[in-house]
Amino acid sequence: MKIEYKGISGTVYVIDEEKIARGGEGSIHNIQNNVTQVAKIFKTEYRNREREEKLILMVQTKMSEDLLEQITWPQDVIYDSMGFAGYIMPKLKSTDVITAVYNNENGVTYDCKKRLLTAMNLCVAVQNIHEMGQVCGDLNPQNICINLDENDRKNVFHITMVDADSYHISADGKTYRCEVGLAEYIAPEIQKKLSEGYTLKNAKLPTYTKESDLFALAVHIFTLLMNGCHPFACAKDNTIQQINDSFDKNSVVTPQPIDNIKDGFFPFYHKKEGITYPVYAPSFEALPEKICNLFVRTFTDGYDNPQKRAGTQEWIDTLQECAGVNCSNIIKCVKGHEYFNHNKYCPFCGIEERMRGILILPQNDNLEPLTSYKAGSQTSQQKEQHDSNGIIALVLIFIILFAAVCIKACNGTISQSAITDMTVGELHDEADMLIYK
Amino acid sequence: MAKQFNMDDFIKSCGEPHLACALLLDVSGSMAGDAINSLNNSIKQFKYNVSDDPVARNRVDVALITFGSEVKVVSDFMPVTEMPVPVLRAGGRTDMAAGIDKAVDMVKERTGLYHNLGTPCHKPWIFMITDGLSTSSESAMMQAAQKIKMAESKGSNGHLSFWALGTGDYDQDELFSLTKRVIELRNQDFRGVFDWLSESMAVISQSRPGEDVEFGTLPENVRKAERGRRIDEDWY
Repeated sequence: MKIEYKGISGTVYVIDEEKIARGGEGSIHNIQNNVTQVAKIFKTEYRNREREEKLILMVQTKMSEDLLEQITWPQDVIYDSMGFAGYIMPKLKSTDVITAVYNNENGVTYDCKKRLLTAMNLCVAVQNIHEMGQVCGDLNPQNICINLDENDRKNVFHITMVDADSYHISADGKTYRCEVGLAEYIAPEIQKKLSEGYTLKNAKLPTYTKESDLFALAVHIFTLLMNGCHPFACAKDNTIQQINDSFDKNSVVTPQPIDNIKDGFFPFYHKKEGITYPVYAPSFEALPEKICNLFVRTFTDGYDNPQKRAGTQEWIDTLQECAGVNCSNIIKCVKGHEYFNHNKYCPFCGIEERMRGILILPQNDNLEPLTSYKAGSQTSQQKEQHDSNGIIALVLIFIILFAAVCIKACNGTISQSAITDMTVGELHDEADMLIYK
Repeated sequence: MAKQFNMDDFIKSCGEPHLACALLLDVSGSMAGDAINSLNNSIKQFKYNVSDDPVARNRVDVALITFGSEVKVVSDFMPVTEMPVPVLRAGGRTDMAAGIDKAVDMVKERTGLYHNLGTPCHKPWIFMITDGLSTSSESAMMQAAQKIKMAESKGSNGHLSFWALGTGDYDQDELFSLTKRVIELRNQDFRGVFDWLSESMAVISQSRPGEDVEFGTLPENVRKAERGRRIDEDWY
């Protein structure tokens, strides 16, 4: 079935009833005899005057064809017999989102060069929006589409920003807020307002700013360059120092990224006892110093003064410079990982080693190893490896216990029984956490 | 030739917040017939639904544990897209306490893994399904209840959400002694409740920290249990 909508421009759009995508606020539909545009139809409860005004304002901004490839900016506001119903926007070439690159989804590995290209294109897209005098606001990865068609040499790794109707739009002294956001991408100055009990709808302006966009942008660049790791994620530090802490019931637990954003604790740069950076990320030093400096400025200096965050052009220049002419500063290891040439060893081979250590070591004596579900299909080689890991584990436990005794001997605050009773399993019980929900 | 393991068999998208969900399933003799068939089909559908969600598929890790006369780990925690779809058979007694013991240990282990890796995580779930009275000893059941309570109460938010779904001749008091999250299924059709579960997994895995998650409506054949109210009483 087809339904007719009339645009504010006077154009009549015949829209397919079938949804090609759906979101919380409405659904996306194809338009008859129109392959370049689609319509977003809001659910009745989201059709209000404020939204209509915002969209009318947005369609007045004239956009070039090139710009419309980078952002699905509203082009017409549409009405049905009941009134305001939705808007018209450019049709996406590709609906893949940037997390596909973060996580090497669908069995494709995106190496350093492709990730740098993606990061630079994202900077360009955000820069374009800022040059229009507007703010994105909710820069969460689901709103960042990417062309992953490697046969499309001209457009591959080009970014298209979507969900523009939620953007933080200002004009004629009035601000139409971006009222949504994913906490892991929200700058600390906004998080502080939210933790005081306000929402993005009712917190005192400013909420989203260009600077808060620059925070989210840096989170994305970091995630791209650091193997999908969020800059504020952290891991439990299982070194000897930690054992000492674990005797304390209030021992160090690993905070979640959102807690670290609020506290301004950047685990790749700041040190805290018992906490280290995640195992699946390279060390901070694996990045060129100039890139590190921009992250430190954005996440650390920018915590107190958001103005200090690195700008889009600065990012583009620095990423380009660090990649070198024709990416000459990126080298390949024997396994094919790409990395910056100031590294002595391949950081990604290092990650594989560390991951293997954690994933295959049995975590608790009472439990079957992680591989048990496929135990029948294990090759003898894997079994051998498993066994040798077991031996390594025993040696490690011995070293840890010995160290614990040494520490005890030094400060004398821990009872002997506490040390001898300690097992890896109990240590594990201390691995309790701060949780989102 | 056997396929070698790769990282994705254990965990994928390490950088994204993960949600561990252990399905703890009663496969005692009373589940034989329609109940076990419906359960098998529903698990398949659950996998399909969660795997179909572009965000949840990278974030939800599932383990399958059954309890009958003995506890069996059908599959350890792994990305929902990798989980096997088992054909469970019913038979034997109902050693619920041992099942709970195992499930809580496994959830703790998984949480520990997230913390060792530095993978952000949501509060894990154990979703238990049972249709009868536990045959575990009274002391074992008390210990299991204690273990759940410990895990649920740790920290400011608690470190576990334990859900119990009862059907058939399940013992309401027994489930309430384990958790306050008791729901009941009127018949032996598990489809609706697994749709609800997959939807909940998708919603939680994409929720914003500190925000109350709105779960979908329970299907028609499931309702929140109330002490003293029997299944099929006032059910329309």
